[in-house]
Amino acid sequence: MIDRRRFLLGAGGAVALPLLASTMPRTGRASTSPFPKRFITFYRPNGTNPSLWFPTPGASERDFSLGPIHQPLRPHRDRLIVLKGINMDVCALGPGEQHQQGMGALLTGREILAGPFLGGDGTRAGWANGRSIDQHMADTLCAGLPMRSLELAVRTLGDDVQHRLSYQGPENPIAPLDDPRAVFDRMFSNEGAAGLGDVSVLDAVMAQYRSVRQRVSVEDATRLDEHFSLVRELEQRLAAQASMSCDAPVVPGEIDPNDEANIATISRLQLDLLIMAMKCDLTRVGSFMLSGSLNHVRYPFIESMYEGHSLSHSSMSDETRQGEWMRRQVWHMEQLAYLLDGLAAVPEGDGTMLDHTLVFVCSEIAVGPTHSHRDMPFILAGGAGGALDTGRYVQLADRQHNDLLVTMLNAMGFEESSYGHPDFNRGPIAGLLV
Amino acid sequence: MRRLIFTTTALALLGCDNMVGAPEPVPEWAAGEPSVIDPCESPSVSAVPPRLLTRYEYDNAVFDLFGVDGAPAGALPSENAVAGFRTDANAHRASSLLVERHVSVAREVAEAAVARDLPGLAPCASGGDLLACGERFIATRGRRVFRRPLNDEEIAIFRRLFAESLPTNGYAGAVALTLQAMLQSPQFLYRLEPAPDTAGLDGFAVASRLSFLLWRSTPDDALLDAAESGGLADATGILEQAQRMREDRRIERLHRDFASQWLGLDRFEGFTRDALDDEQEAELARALTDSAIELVARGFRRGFDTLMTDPELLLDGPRGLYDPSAPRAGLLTHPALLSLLSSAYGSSPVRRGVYVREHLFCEPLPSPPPDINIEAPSPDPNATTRERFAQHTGDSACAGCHVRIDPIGFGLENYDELGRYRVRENGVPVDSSGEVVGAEDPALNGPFEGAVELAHRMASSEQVRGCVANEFYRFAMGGAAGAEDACTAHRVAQSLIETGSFDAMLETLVTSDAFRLRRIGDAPADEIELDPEWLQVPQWVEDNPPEFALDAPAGTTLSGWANDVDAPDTPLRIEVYFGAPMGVGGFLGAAFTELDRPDAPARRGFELDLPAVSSGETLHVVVFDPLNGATVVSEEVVWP
Repeated sequence: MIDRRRFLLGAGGAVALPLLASTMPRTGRASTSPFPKRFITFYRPNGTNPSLWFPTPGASERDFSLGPIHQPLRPHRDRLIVLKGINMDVCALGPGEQHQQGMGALLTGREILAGPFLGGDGTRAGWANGRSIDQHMADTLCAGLPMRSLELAVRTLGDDVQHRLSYQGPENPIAPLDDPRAVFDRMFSNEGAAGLGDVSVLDAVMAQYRSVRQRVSVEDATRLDEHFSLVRELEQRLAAQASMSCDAPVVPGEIDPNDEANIATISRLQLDLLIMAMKCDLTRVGSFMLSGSLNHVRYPFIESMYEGHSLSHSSMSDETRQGEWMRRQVWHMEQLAYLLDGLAAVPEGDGTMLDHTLVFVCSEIAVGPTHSHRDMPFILAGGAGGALDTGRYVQLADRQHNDLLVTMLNAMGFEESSYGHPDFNRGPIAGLLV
Repeated sequence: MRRLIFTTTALALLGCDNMVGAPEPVPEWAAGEPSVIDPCESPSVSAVPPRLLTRYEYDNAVFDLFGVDGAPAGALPSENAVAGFRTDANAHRASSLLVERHVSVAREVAEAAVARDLPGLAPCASGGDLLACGERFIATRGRRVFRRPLNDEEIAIFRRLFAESLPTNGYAGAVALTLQAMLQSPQFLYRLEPAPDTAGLDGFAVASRLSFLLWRSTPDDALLDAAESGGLADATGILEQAQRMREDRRIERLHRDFASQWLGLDRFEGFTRDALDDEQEAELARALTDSAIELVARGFRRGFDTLMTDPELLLDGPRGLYDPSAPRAGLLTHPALLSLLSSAYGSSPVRRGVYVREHLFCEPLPSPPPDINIEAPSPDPNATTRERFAQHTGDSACAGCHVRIDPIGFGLENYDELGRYRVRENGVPVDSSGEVVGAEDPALNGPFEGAVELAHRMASSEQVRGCVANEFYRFAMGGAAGAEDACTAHRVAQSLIETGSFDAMLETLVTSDAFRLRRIGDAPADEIELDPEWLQVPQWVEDNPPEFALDAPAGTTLSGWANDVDAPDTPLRIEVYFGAPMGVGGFLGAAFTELDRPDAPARRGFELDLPAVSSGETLHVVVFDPLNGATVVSEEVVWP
């Protein structure tokens, strides 16, 4: 336990990490800033109550007051673009219920395919039919870095389409890590990171793959290719790791990631590690999920003894249940504020790491009780290296979230003019970027 | 002939009255009578991708291969699950995290295997040719790890790795590195079956299918020998091996793995009940998990009726929590299932009813329409759970589905959120009358009084038996039966329906088309070129042997120095063995010569802490020539 406390202190910013000087120069990428851009997805489940979420508009986009749920974000008001009027209509193309559809579409801009999952609306849901933008960005942003991306969660609570955000490709989701200790090992420990001896082992492994590939069918070879292209990528990243120096913080103590009483602690530990990974330039793409969709878990630390999903379904006129659900949503925003605080505490040039990061705040449905995909509760936070014009409440009329995906790609320096399903692309959303 | 609909996987979609959402069309082959389409007319199987070992299979395989326990694959990311099953061949795939973790897990396993029993793993006569020993190790161990004999190319690749690593890593180190590579090779991680030029699988592929089905692990030597001698070419040979395997203790892994996935026992992680403290929760979660697995195991041994109606609850758990004389009847009354289908503060007739409908009747239900309020009723100290939930069936928007769900759950109300038996709740007598409405099998329908009566009714229902067979098929074959598997799925379900015996069901499965055949027509993949360099073993040069000396042991420290004039700046690898020389003796530890020596600045020293050596033991210490790993110089020292 002492370990964990020391780790918390260290990660909170009290202990400086002697690492930036050695890692910073490795930024020869196309950017006017010497600091790399980072992309973080911050996911929270079950949509919202719109009347408590959206700001009160003023005379102009910059003149608005944050809604009650967003009170924890007040210190960062000028680093936000709160968005209204974005729909996720691509969901309706696929089977499944709205949580499944929304999880699949959020980062891929694609519908989910027919598949084997129970719990649909009579149709059977499968996985999403596309690659997610975070993975698309990682191809370029994280080339040569020790990790291509870092997927973290607090109590994921499942292993199906309702509990996955990132996709390497169609029907190929990425599982997030719930246990801060495992994340730490992945990032810092010599046990987790491979040594140079492993490189010659991987060479032999790749030779075995090439050898056996000739004797399997085309379909089987495709599956092997998928696996061993990742191994090849790992080999390249190991070479990068060998020359990297980033001192590890104190190792976090053992903590049960499945105990509801630990949720608040784990959320902070995971966010600390995410910030640390960016700070050490281990990766530039990450995601954080406050459980998968549905959120069938209690929050005893804020005296919420009902599960998130039932609360989100409660009638808008039920003040007790709606009040409890709002407390949970405020707590979610406290976690977001903690992330933004952490990014803003890392100096980079004249500004901070937050200036060079784009945080996409999202949920898989819009409104808890109705589960619609209209007026999605999306927020962009951070500067994306000076690309985003923040401090605004932007009310759009019937734009598609595919266009927001494109806009975010553009903000991150990518030149795509469409992403995901072509029928839902009308081009980037004008006015969000500087 | 019985209706095929019982034999298909969860496609008997009902679609409740008053519900939104169009049901998925039932495939033609499932909707009609078998007389319309005879699925068994000609051999037919659907294509299945190569299956990646699950964490459980990986752990079992490395235990069976090397005796390495401790569930090292726990460090791998969890499999993507489909309908609760982690064995789905399409969903369980490689990810960046997975391949990264494979590196460290393989290293951990290989090092543990070498430390545990190097002479057993890679025996080598004292003073023998180390490269020849390595080659023997590659061929014999490789056959177990790859589940078939290695071809010349595969051997050459490992021989090169072994030979290259010998000088710097020593014998134990080279064995460990080679093992690491084996454990990350596709031939181990994937259940690869060669592109068939005929419809039949070769014997080694059948051996793997048998062992991963029945033992959740890699084949043993007897099974590989049977494959090699053609003993798995026909049904008789397969059944003979299956019989042998069922009598082996490893069959218990089948029960454990199926029970865990089918019943969702991993949801006991994070088990929370208001009535218990943290320690009790953890203890109970373990006890209920084991007890549920034991019930499924008993069912597999004795038959379907035992699974569904066994009155005995075997539970080695917290004392006094469960009344041993309470009425029980198999799975439906088992506290593991009943508590998983509850909330932290009370039983849930809805969850229980939905589970029965979906996983025991194979009748999936639609989700509630999005625009209604589906919050669970609040706890009420003055009412029973049944009274609180009664609203569903009273509300017309909900009744269409809930009339199929709630009356089943209400009939299980004699069991609380821990699965404890109760006759009163909040002082009010429990009403455990229930009813099954609208099931496909008419024998299931009608009112019942309490879970025991329902359990007995379900035990003899063809629909429930067929459903359990379908769930097992999905688990065993890595996915639901495809259209081309209709014949196999039908026969597997029929065998359980007609005999009630899981042994009979397994026999039908392992001799079926889907199990013994692979879909033909797959063209071989395009070749990608193998660098011919990989087939070359490095040539060693003639050179001077290293100079080497040990200090007198002091305390638990063994120290000494070694130098090689041909490579004065290269640290030399030292290995220590006990009991007998390298190759026969046990591996104790290794070090490199990296320390300064005050006695002679040109010499490079080493130190090893050996706390576990007993006094009088002879240690055999070797140093490897850095240019020529086959040359070693050895010294002996008697521990003080």
